[in-house]
Amino acid sequence: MARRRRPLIIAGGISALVLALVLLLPLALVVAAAFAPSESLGISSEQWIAGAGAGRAFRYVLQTYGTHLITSAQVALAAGAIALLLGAPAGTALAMAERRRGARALETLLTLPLGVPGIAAAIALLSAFPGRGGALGLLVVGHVLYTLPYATRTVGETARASRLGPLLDAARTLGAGRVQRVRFVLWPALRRALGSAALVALAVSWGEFNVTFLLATPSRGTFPTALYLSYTTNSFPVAAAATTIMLAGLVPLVLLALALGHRPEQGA
Amino acid sequence: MRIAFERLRVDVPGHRALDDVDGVVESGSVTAVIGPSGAGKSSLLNVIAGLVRPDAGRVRFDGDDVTASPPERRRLGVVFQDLRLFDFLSGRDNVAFAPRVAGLSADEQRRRVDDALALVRADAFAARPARVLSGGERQRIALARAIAMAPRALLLDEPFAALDAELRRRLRDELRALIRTLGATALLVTHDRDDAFALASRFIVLRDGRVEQAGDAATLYGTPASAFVATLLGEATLLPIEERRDGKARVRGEWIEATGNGARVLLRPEALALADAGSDGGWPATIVDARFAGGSWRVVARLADATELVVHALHMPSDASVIVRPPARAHSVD
Repeated sequence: MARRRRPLIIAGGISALVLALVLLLPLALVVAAAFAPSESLGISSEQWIAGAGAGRAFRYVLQTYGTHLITSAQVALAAGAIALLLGAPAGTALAMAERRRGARALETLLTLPLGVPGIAAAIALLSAFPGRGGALGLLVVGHVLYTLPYATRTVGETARASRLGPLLDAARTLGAGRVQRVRFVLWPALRRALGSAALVALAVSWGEFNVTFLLATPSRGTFPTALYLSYTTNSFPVAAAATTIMLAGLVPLVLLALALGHRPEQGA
Repeated sequence: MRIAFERLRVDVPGHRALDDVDGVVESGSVTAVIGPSGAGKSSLLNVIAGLVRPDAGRVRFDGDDVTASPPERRRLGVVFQDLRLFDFLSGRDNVAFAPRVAGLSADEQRRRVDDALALVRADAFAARPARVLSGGERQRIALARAIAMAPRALLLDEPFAALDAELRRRLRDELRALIRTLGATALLVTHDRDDAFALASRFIVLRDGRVEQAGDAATLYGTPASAFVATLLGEATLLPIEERRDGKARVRGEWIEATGNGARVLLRPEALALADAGSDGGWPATIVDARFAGGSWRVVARLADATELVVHALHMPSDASVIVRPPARAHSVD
């Protein structure tokens, strides 16, 4: 049986490798370009950056778009926290009430923003809060629209898979009160999912561009909007440096979220 | 502890799970709630455990009304059909859960856990994470977890459903011995008559959310109130009564002393006997199937009109043509 499967495994491995190369090679080229010699920096403003060497493009990005980076971090932390605070209880409650009428419909409703184009969501937000374009709060609300469904689903799926409702019932029959059920059952069963949901929410917010593009102003935007600006106004090595900084924030979050999501719960 | 439930009614959307259900589990006894899937067995267990609030009726523990009492205050050791072990804990920590949330001292917790693990012979593997334990090991941990809380009664919901036949038989015997040792009051919910007969002395038969019959196991087996109870509790053939006279019933020409007022006599396989063809009395039949069932033969004999009777015979007849002898006395049901 194993021998018969071998060609299939080899073919699958090759496909995965080709896919990874197609996806990762362009990114690797962009990252490599960020470390290109400083002579390749183009327009005059880029020449004003002091110093020389491969780090020059990075210094330019940090100096020019540093405020965007800080805004991105603020928005991601706020949107991630709100998504977790709202999404975790919602996901848990929906998973535990999955047989109740309307639970599935409500869950679908919560994931609806993922299907709405960012531009439409942004215009809706600007219409609802006129004159608030560029406000940090509005950026956070825009990002919560897209991070909340991920947090809800991540926690909800784990609650469903670990059969949290029946476990909590078992804890009740064993004498556990409300606080003890949260401490000894809910928390250990969901803690990895909560961590994973927080990281996914941070990653989604960190990379969010569509809704932010319309909500941002030249003076206040997130780093992806700076990335857009760098690709449209700067030389390629500078844009590549901005992309590398973007990836440096994103990749660890995604890897950590994946690691948490795939590791089974350990003994408490 | 004596458990009593009175006129219980539980409605779920589009369905009445329990309808006017009464019953008693006497202190120190094991009562089996038996019935097919959807009969309301698990609903009844959930009501007694406090996990489902009945729409009507009362649950009493030693006479006290506990209907409104939450499960965490009832101190019942529940072994669920799906066990519901906490997979993020070790087997031992699962067993320690109830003593821990009860706020017992560390020494008392350890003593309770050690005793419970020893009783179910789970000490050897209890340190391992619950998620890596085998089906039988998980079963023992679930049982130890229920015992470690020093419950007032045990509630067992299809406790052997997920086990293979051999392990099921072994654990059933062990549980029987354990319940005797503890002198526990227990309610067993099962659809399996072998489990029910092995563990319980009293039965409550549920059908479509209602009590079909309740009583001691031997009475229900021998004098069931209906064909449903008769076939639920064992193999049975029901033959129509042709005539009744002086407490006797004529069935296919044979006169049998008949109890009950039903229109059919209940013939259990062990009450029938096989004789050589040509013998006096009885019903001529042809053997259409026979298999050795360990200790006796399970023989299917077909009568002239194609009615089939199951007979448990100590010896396999040498010829396919036989006489099936009815018992001198049989119970009748509708």
